[in-house]
Amino acid sequence: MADMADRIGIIGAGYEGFRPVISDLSTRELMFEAASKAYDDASIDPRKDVGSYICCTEDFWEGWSITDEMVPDQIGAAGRPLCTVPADAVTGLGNAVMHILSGIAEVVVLEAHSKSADVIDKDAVERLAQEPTIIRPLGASSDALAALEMDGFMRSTGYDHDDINDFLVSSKKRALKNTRASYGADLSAEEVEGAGMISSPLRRLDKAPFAEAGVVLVLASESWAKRNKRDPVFIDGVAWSSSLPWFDGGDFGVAGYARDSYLKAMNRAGLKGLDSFDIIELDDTYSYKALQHLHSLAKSAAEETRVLSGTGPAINPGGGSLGVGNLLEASAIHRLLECYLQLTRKAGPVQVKGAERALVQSWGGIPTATGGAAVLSR
Amino acid sequence: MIKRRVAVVGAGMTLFRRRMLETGRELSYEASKMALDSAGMTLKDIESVVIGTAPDAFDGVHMKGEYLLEGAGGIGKANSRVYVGGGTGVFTPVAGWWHVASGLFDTCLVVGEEKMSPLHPHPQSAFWSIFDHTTERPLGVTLLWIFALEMRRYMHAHNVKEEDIALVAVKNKMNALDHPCAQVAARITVDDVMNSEKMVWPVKRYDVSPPSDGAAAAILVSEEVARKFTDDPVWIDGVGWNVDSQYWTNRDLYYPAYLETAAKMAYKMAKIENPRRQLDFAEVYDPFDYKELHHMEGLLLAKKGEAPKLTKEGVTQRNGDFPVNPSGGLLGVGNPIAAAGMMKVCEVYWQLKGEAGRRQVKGNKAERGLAQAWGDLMQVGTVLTMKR
Repeated sequence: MADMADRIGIIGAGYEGFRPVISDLSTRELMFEAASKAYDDASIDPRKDVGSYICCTEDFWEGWSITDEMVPDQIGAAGRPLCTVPADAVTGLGNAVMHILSGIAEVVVLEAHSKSADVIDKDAVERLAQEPTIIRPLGASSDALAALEMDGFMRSTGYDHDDINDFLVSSKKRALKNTRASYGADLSAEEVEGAGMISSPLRRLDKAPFAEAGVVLVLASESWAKRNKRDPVFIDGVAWSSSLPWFDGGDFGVAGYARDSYLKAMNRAGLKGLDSFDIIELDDTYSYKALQHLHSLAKSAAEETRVLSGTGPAINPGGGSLGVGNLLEASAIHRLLECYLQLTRKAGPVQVKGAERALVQSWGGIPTATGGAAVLSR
Repeated sequence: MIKRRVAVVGAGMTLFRRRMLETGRELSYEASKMALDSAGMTLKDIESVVIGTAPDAFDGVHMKGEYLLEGAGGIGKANSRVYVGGGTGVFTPVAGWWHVASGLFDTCLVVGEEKMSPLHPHPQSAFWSIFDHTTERPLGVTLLWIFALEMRRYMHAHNVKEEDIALVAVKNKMNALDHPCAQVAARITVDDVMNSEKMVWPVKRYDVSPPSDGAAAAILVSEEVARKFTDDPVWIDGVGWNVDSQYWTNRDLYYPAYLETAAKMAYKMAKIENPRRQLDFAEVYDPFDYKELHHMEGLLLAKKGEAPKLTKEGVTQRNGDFPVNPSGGLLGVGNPIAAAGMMKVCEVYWQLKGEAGRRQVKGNKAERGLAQAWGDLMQVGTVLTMKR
């Protein structure tokens, strides 16, 4: 497997929404607004400068079969090479990187969005992702599957509700300062416990509430960026991987997809250890998943403890999904966006001083065991 | 500038049938296993997997790529699903190509799967949800309606008769008699096509490919890996794709301009200046018989309006000067959407390897072939050229 000798960077980002419900924009308008802002940020003309476009969408969340058909007109991609990569945006980012590395494009646009409030019965859609012959007939909701995994995770690692409460409470508090966060709160552990149970041991506040947003990133090769005097946030390493979910025999403690993709991304970036980073954006679709993901990335218990204690890199400085909201297919691009804003000093009240390098870790959600990792630097 | 050469070293496919007992995962497994076996490889040799499968609505599985990946060998690998509607089948190896050409991976297993039979009462109902919710769905429009409009427009623009178009169905169903996986191979006549059930005029039953279940797969590798496994790899030398506006009502349907753009992207990469001369044969997307003609022109394999004439003269027959769909195409082999496009790529590979048996064109002397697919709301063209 080759390294990423040719550097590729993010030269612009645009976003719109980040609210529980966006009632004044349709899906198409949301995409248009995010894309327009990204093109403005990158100072590009999408009709002249862009070589290919990738959107990360899933048909059932969109309520639209073959969703890519309705994408081109909104983002300036009509009559151009466009495709859907139905996965989280780190996988989309990886494919965008490969477009540039293979020589078919110098500039690539990556788009993802969430219009979750349009979905009347999200639980029903999530159940349709379960394997239809053996798993789905059991009648378990995605939250119930998550609860069973959470229980297995706590039993196998020794993490308890107090540890999870600490992470959850601090995430919600950090989100209070993030202008993109809809679910910031100043909570106590008692309030977390008292907010009710979804399915033991998963509590109501352990699950990131849904939110809506559209995000567009513009990637370019370093040579293009130099020729056109742009100052990219570099993608030093990116990888994605799939492992067995727990109900098919996968591990409860270590998320194989997270560890595998992290190690490959680090290898491509030539880095070792979480201390390499100023910022780590962990997938926290459920609170326990953030701890499971950290547990999977850490090379030792000492490293895991150090990072979790707050003396190492900042974890989810904008409050993560627990504070900002679950953005479905846009969750991973949101994490990429937060890091881009941090590394370009545009993160506002949640800016981490002196941040130079960030790690994004992503997950495809229940029932998947698929995720990715990206190393960004400036 | 393309940085690495990419070779195809193995291919496999399942039977195409209206209703297969195997699950989508099992179909993916069977095709993948056949492709690996034909390459003399195992899953351990594979670094990345690309899955192509069209609407989730067919299988009734949300995030269908995740569901299929275990069957397609994606566990422990970098797994991507790519998707451009009906164009997915040929686009899947295009994505496999960029996995290897980028240098990020040396090997990639590409798998196209479709299981349309779970959808009741008929797979066509999945297509209801591809239309615009505000302007089109309320009309109760179906795919057959809009393709009938396109076929009619093509006939009108070039003064083409239904009988001229029916020759494509006759040819492809006949070619499919030699394909061991074919679903609807038959020896039929133009009269049979003309007398078949009217669906939406001018589209008749035999003008249309069937709904199908099936899977097909191929192994893509870097040049260095290819040399370890074979002395005569088949190279992918051109890829292209293009997506036009969703608003199909705003363009003249007589000609697929988006396909011409996609083809030119592939031809430029492959340094093909005269596709009719520099290619030896083509697997052109033929979900309807008129589409083979329409696509031949979009691919610049015929001048505008010339494809029916070439067909009538026998040029596109398997033993003709420029064979088109020697496999039997979707009209003969079947149309499990993403797997159908992959089948075309497999056919080009087998032809160039000299492994196509009774379907072999040009006495095993063909040097270069093309596979193409089409999809979304009559707006996507995907093109791949291969040479030995």
